Amino acid sequence: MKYETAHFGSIEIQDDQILHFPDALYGFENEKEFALLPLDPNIESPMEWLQSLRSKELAFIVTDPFLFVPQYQMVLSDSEKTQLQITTTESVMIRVIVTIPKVHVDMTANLVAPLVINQTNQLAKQVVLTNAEYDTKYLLISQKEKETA
Amino acid sequence: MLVLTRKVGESIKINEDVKITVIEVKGRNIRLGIEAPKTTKVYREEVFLKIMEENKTAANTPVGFDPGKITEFISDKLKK
Repeated sequence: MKYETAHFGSIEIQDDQILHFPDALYGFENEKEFALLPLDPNIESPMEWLQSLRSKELAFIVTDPFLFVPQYQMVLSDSEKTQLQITTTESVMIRVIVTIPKVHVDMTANLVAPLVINQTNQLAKQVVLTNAEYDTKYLLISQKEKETA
Repeated sequence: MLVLTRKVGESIKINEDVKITVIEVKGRNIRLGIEAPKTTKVYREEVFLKIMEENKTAANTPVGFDPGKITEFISDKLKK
């Protein structure tokens, strides 16, 4: 089916590419269907767009948290696992939402509320991690790395 | 909203398996003990508000957003 997108106009998105968030995203209670799209079809990037299929102008940048925090950890509750029908960890994909400020190098990722996606049925959920050691504004490029850049 | 008064040491039960006990009252602070099954998620409300706010900020990509630039920053970092 064709969908309107924020960055690529009207594009074809297959049903099996649609991610279903039955509980929507926090602060966007009506947004339950999204698709992952390349950040820019002409460049290879660890970032992707999470495009809403309901509101064309709504698209988040997401990335794989393990690229930045290899020891990133989360524990899903039984009810979360049941809701997403997760039976094996291999089918699970984790993404975090990235916030890009005007000064792009100061971009941050929300490690407190990752997106958990079951790739076998495209069911997904923004999960809140109860262990408080993570930040909603984790700097992807640390101060030190900025200095040496 | 249901409003009720409890003394220190008294509890409130929610369903059969959640129990909230007033442990201590000190000035404007109240310490609560929460007993709930492992599958029940308990958070401070601020955590939710913070996540909502962060989602809203993240939804607004800045004017002049340059996907090539952020990819370059990240690739440089990941190479190191």
